[in-house]
Amino acid sequence: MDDINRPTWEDVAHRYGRKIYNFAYRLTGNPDDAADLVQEVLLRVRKGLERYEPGSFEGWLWRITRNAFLDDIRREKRRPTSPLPEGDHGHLGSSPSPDEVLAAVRLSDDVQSALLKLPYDFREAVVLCDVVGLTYDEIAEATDIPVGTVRSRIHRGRKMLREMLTWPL
Amino acid sequence: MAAVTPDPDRFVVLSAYLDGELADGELDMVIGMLSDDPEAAAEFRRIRDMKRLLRALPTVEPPGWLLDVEHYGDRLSAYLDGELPTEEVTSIVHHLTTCRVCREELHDLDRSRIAVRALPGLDAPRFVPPPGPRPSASSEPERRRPHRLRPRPIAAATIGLVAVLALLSILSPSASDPTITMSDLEARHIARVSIEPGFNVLPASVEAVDP
Ligand SMILES: [Zn+2]
Repeated sequence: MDDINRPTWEDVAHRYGRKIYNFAYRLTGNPDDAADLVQEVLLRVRKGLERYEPGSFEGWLWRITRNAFLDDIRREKRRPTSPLPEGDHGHLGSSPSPDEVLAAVRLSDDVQSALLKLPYDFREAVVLCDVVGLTYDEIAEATDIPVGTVRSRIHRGRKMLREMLTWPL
Repeated sequence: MAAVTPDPDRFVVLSAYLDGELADGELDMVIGMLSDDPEAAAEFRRIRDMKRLLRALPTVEPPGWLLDVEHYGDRLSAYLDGELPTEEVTSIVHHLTTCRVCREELHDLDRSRIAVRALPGLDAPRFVPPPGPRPSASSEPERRRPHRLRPRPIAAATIGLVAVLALLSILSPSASDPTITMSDLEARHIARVSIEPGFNVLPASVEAVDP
């Protein structure tokens, strides 16, 4: 472990906490589980539980995040397909009309509900790509699967989502 | 013989194209597909729209205590030593009720603090002449180094230190569940209060909540 270059947990909290939170929120649909996951990741970073290789920060961080998430699922603490709470609490753009807000909330609720119905492997690949914004190589590193499989999961995940959403785009 | 169903992953390159992740030589294939194959063009539009929807999911704001407030890293030691102003103590105590990471940091700091304080004190080295008559030749080096530590106190101190370190390693979070409950912290602080008059980490008015 390169202790000099390894980011501190405070760095990770400031630079990546929001992303980790959104990753977990989109995977679980549950704000409490998302907050738990962020804390678990920070604890793991603090203890240096995973080998850090400079130059692959994203892969390292998301591997920790994914392992923490999967460990929690194994302990059955999380409910990966729990229903959405009262919609999103996020930013919806600059002063939209109430109708637009309602439409946007309904839209993102529908997408979120569809996400939660996806098998985990596909949900994870799609969320890491489209919500977190990782490259295929970074996703492959974080999830320890070949890039070809990442590519296939992302495509099939999007396809399944599109089929689940019944309204026209 | 039934018609061969098309490979369900025939359009995988379309997602890769949207994501800027095509391998060498695949771009021509995608361009050809999209111009010659209406099915591919329709699939491309569906996947593109789905990706747009996913990208448009709003960023969900984490609760303030999770990221927006400052964590207390360096100041936790000062907190343990009772060296912080009251208002900062109040905010730290509040923060500790929700932040597992700072609780764990406090826990570790507290443990090393206790361990350091528990180190056995060393008696000042004292020269004790061996009993009985001494040959003058062998007493000469002792006289030249009157303050040399005797082996026995060093061994005793080493054993004490090793015992403390062993105890620490048994108690260390890597060997146990890293989860720290406020009641755990509270119990040990109560224990501290009982041996250190004037030391009070958590005000009695604060309700410890383990989220
Ligand atoms: Zn904290």
